[in-house]
Formats: sequence, C-alpha cells, structure tokens
Amino acid sequence: MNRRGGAGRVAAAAVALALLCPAQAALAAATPTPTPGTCVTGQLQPVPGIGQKLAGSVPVVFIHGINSSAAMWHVSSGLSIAGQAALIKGVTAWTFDYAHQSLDWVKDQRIGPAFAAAIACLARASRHKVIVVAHSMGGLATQYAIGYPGSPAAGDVGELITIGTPYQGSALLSAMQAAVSGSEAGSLPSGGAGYVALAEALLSACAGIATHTDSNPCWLVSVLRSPVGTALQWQSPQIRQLPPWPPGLPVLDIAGDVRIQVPVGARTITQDFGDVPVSLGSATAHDTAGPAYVRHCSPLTLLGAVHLDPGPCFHTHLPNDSDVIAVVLAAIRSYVKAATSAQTSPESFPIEYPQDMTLACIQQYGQGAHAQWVNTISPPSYGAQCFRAGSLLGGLDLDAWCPVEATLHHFSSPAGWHSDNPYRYSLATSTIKPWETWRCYQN
Amino acid sequence: MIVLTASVAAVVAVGLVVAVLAVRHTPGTGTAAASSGAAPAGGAAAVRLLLSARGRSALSPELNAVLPAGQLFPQGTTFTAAPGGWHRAGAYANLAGTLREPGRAAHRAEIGFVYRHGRWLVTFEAVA
Repeated sequence: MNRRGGAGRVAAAAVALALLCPAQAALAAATPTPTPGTCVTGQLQPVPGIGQKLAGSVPVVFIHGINSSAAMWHVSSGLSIAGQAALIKGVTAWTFDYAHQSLDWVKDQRIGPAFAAAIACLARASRHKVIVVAHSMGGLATQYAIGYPGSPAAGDVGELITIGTPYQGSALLSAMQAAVSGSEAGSLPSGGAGYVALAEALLSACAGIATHTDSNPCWLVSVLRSPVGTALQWQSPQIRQLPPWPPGLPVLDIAGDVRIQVPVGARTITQDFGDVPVSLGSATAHDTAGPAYVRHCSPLTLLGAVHLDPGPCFHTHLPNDSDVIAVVLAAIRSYVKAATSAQTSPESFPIEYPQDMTLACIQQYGQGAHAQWVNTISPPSYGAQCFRAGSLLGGLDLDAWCPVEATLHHFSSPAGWHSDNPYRYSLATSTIKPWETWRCYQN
Repeated sequence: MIVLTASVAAVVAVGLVVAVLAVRHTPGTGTAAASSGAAPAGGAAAVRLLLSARGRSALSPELNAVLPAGQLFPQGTTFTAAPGGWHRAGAYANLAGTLREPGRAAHRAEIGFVYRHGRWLVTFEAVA
C-alpha cells in the first residue's frame, strides 16, 4: 500500500500545472494552490502524457480500490495502464486518489462525492464525457458518484471499465468475517462451502506473516475490521443500497479467473475463486458493453499464492497484467475514436530511420500506428534517444514519444512486415489488430 | 524438535515431548494474540491425529465437508516440526516442518490450524 504524503501532493500538483498550462509553471512552483479551472486537486492529478490540453480531449480517470492509492497505477511507467492511456491521442489521463479513506465506504465525502466533483469538472472543462477505469471498489465508488441524489456528475460518464469490481460483494471476505467471528457465513454464492474452507486455510497460512501488503491474499486480513470489511461482504446491505446504474451507460467488466488448490495429504480441494477476493460472478455481474473480459490463469496452490506469486489473475495484480492493459486501452481507443472521429490511415505507410539507428518500434492500434526509433549503439535505457518520426497518418506528432526500456525487451517476429531495404519497413494496415501494442524489429 | 508419527511407539515418545511443550504454550481463544515458536501440545496432538488412520477427524468440519473422500496419509507418515516453526495469529496458526511418507522423499510442508472449542483443528497441509 502506498500512500502519498502532503509534500508529494504539492509536488504533483506543480507538475500537473506545468503540463496543463506551461506558462503558469513558475507560478505553480511558488504557489502550490492549483488555479481554478484545471480540475487539479489533491485527489485528482493528471498523468504525464503528451501535453495535450484538457479542452477538447476525452478525460480518462483511473480510480483505485480499497486499501490502496493512486500509486497503484504506476503513472510514471510507460508500460502501465495509465501511462499508456496518457499517450493516446485525444486523451488526457487522470488519477483519483482517496488513499486516506480507502478503508471507508464509498459514501464518504472524500470518496463518492469528491469523485463526482472531479468527474463533473473534467467533463465541463473538456466538453466530453469522461471514461472511468476503476479497480475493485473504485467501480462501486463510481456507481455512487454518478448516481446519488444531486450528484453533479450525473450523465458525465461516457463509459466505465471495471477491473475486479465486486458488484455483488466478496464471498471470501464474508467467509473470513464469519470465520474470525465464529458465526455462520450466511448465504454465499455457488461453492460457498469451498469459500469457507479457503477462508480458514488462508487465515491459517497468513499467521506469522507480518506485512500484509496487497501483493498476496493476506492483505484481506488487514481490512476485516474496517468499514469496507463489512460493506464489501457478499450481497451486503451497503452494496444493495447503492443508487441504480444510469440506463445505457456502457460498462465493461474485466475479471480474473483462477483456481486455488487447498490440499491435505493425498486429497485436494480445487475451486474457482475468480481473482480470489472477488468471484468471477461478482466481477461480471454488471456488464453492459458486450461480453466481459475474463483473464484466465493456471491453478495456484494455497501456499504458492501466499508465499510466492499469486499471479496475474490475482485481484491486485490484474491492473498490471499486459492482457488486461491491452483490453482497457483498446476500449479507450474505441471510445475516443467514436467521440472524436479519428483520422483514417493509409493502406500502408513507410517507416524509415537513420542509419545509426538499429531498432524500430511501432505501436499499433485500431486504424492508426505510431513509430519510434531507438539508438541501441549505447546501452538501452530509459531516456534513450527518441527520434521524431515526422508526420505519419495524417499528422500525428510523435515528437513527445520516448522509448521505454521494457519495450526493448519485447522483440517479436516481424510477421506482416515488408522491407525493401534495411532501413525502411512498411506495415499494411490490414494486419493491425485492435489492441496489439509494441512490436519491435531489430535491424 | 519434535517428531510425530502414526506408530504407537512414536506417539508415546512424542506425547512426552509435547507434554513439556504444553507447559510453555497453552492455546488461548483470544483473537489478537500473535506468537511464534514451538508447537503447543494441542497442535502437536492435532498433527498426530492427522497422520493417523483417523486423520479426517483432525480436520475442521468445513474442510472435511468439501475435501474428497479417502485416507489422507499412508500409514507410517511422520512430520518433524521445524524449530520455531509454529506461527499463530489469534485463533489461527501454521506449523512448518518436514513430512516423510513411506517410500517417498521427505519434503518441507506446512500445516494450518484453527483453534475451536478447546482444540486445534487442521485447515490445510501443503508442500511448502
């Protein structure tokens, strides 16, 4: 769990102002209070992107879940979901933080209502509806923010993408609550007995683990006594009392799906536990934008999940999974394309890079593509030289695109590429897939 | 270090050891207690029962209800607790050690427990 301190917020706000209004950067450094009209607050921060103005862009806001903070989105990484979203043309990306209230229920003034104010400001300033990307309880915070009586954000969300949101609550949390209180677990979804057995096994395995980080299932133990530890139980009154979803709001659900094995000697229980805290059924209970995306993973052993790596399907790992990131980015691009009438691309386009360059990377999406060249003569590193691609695809400016070191490690075969000399490649747009990302080719 | 086995002789020997341990560690029912060290007598007894022919009676009722039917361990299986291998938080605990099944290589294992109605019940046993 990372919680940002006050000094960090001031610094971030100053950076935000510099991005949104460079002329006021000096003023921002001297005056930490954000200027009106930027929407920037201590809770709402822009993700560094390609320097686009908020006006006319489609704002994409990332909101975290329980026992977490905006730091979970890793905005400084060009590989993160938020970092990549910020690079989409026509988008400004934002994070909303309620770290200090993340163990409180979504009705807290600094969660639902504050998020509503943030959404309303972004929609007003951009003149576009806002895309919300929510992890876990962030989806329920959005439901409250846009639906509570008198919400300033009613009608301001154009699409919601939820990752592991417990629309029906958490069966495992209910089973754990019942276990520690010695009471009956009450009604649980299909496989409820397995949840009770897993809850007890998990509580046992977590004994003696001092740090309940969100990198393994033991973090659930740390939320049991909090308000959300009650509110997020399976089909809790708090969830049932949330305001109804706005009719017609597209909601794309993303869920994890992993089976966990709880063994004793020669016998083993193997049951599907969704992303562990949130069952598959709960995470996909409100999907109005087509089929939910389910990330399937190999079965985990109980101790593997606790002591080793619970894998990409685990609740807190889902937002960092490359497959999930690709789905989210594709959904954002699709929305932005529709909202801004994206430019059409030619049938094919040339890609050239200087002779001292040895690596070319292309980012493909939908109807477009971006290209960059990386100098690998010197050791590749973050901040390696990035060369302007000129004007491709109707004037997309790649000047601000800089390589990310990890892209250098993701070579793939140049299937679909055509080359007539070592420094020129082209790629027919028919081979572009909706959410294919970096494809690099070394000369 | 304690060695737990299904054989009668070993049970007697272990009983002597855990009797000493019981003086130092008496399980409580508090929910906030956290400790580590050697297994208490009740935990050792639960392991003995788990490795016996009546192993399923060592399980928590919730686990026993969903675990596939059948014997859990072959006769002659032993578990050697690691020094300081007992970790407890409230009514839950785990014990690390080495499991030896006849005809198979020994391997590190961990056993989970819940303290209920005055006795420790097993919640899992897994390769560590």
